[in-house]
Amino acid sequence: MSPFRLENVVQRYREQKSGAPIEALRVRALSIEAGEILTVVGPNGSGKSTLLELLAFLRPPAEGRVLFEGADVWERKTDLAARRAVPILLQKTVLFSTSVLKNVLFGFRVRGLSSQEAQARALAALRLVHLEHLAHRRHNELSGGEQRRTALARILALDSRVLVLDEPTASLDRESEQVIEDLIRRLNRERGVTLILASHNRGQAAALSTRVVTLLGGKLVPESLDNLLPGTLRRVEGGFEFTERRGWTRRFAAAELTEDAWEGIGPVEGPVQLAISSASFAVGAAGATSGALDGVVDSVRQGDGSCRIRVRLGNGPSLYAEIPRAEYARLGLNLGARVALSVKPGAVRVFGARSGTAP
Amino acid sequence: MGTLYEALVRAARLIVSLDPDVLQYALRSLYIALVSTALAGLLAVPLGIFIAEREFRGKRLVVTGLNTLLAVPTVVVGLFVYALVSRQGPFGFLELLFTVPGIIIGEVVLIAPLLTALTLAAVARVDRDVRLTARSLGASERQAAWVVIREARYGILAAIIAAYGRVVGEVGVAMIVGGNIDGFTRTLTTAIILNVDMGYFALALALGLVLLAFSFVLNVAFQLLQGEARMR
Repeated sequence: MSPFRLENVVQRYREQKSGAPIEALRVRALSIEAGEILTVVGPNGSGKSTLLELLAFLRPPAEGRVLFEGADVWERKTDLAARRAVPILLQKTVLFSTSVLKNVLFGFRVRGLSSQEAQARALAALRLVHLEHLAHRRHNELSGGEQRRTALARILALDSRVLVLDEPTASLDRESEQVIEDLIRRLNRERGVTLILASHNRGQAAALSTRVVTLLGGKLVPESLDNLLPGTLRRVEGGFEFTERRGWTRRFAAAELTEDAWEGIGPVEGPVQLAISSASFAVGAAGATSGALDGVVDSVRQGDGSCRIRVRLGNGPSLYAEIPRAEYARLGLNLGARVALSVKPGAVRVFGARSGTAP
Repeated sequence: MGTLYEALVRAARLIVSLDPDVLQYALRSLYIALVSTALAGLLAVPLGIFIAEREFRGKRLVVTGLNTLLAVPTVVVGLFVYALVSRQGPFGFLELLFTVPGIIIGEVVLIAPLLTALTLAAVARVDRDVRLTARSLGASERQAAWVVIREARYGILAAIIAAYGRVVGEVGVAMIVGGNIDGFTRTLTTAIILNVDMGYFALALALGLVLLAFSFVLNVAFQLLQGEARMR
């Protein structure tokens, strides 16, 4: 049975000043299987922490259901038990004002366990994060990395089957980062722990996880949409002008952009991410099609039935295109070849860059 | 200068020789301060925690009201309590006017808002994420609330010390409600005023030095606590 299933979940917050509700997350469906390392990636404010806090049962959803091992936790009012089953490392490290060891023992104390065994498990957890020698230090005598690792030990000690880690290695030195990444792999491999992570580092996510999902503007980006272009969109006559983050500009006809992604996020202008599936391009010789994206092939990866080529667009971003092997052979696409990527109508989807804000 | 020097010498002699009057006023002041701080603490600390922990309509108004009461002059509180406990007042039948329990009640009325407001601030100052962190580790709502209070403990202790300090050096309530009766309700502060009025400067100064010693001990305690807090 999959540990988690989200069904039509919506989460809202009240804006601090006006008290107006802001939609932070809208997830139609998400299942997480036992033994996965799932990483949620996305820019700041895209709803990663909101999703993780839902998975750790810190807050009930505004709408929809969060199922844990098949049961609707909030309906059955078993949220305390669920919360105890799914400890979360919050994005912000807060240590209680006491020793490192007592911090790690906190989880046992609230569960009414304060035996010799708890002590041994706490020390074992500190050993895992290489902090055993600091067990009796005060919370405020630690470096940032040591504080983060203490917070990690605090949830590791509980030996849960599932762990949720919100940006576990953000703003840490390389050494602490390495310790934590190795630990995540070991926990998963040796103890079969299911891990759910948030990260804004796509590279780290890919190297560490068994599955990566992307959140943009509080919505999950379908896995097929594997080209993401951050930038701004401006309404112009006959369509939209997109300016990519580094300054590359292109006009899109209204028909090229998918409208269903706009639902609920207001008029499409301002900061957005364009999402395009690598399989949605038609690849042809450069200059052959008007309105196509012209570029140069700068890497090729051959798969079983298809090829994945990376095309660099002038001085702009690179896009991945997935084409059948036969097509690849016919076009004679060597590295450095000039090609044109045609965008099929509706293939470009638009996501607001931040959750809750009209792009 | 000569007068001041002579007065200082006489004051020192009065203190060292444990002058019965000085001793009597000092002990009474200490007793009133300790008892009223304890009573106000029992009332105001839980109230401050309660207000800090709960969200309710009009909370901002309550907080503003408390902060206003912080600045109320002690003589005004004295007058108010006098009106309540004087013979014609609603609590006149309790015969609390010109008694030590009467002063204590007045002091409780004086410092309860201070203690409530400072406790509230101490609890509210604790990082909001402390509660979330406690819950993320499996604490129930009640356990998480307790963690927040624990984290605010030094702030609450500082609030209690500040309240005690206010009572020890206070003269308005002690004078108006207590009546400054020798042997019954005279405290260090009311005795100082009386002795200055009567020209007994040395005695007044001796009493002032004792009061200063109380402040000193208080501040040392405060510093030690803060040092402790920094260590933790």
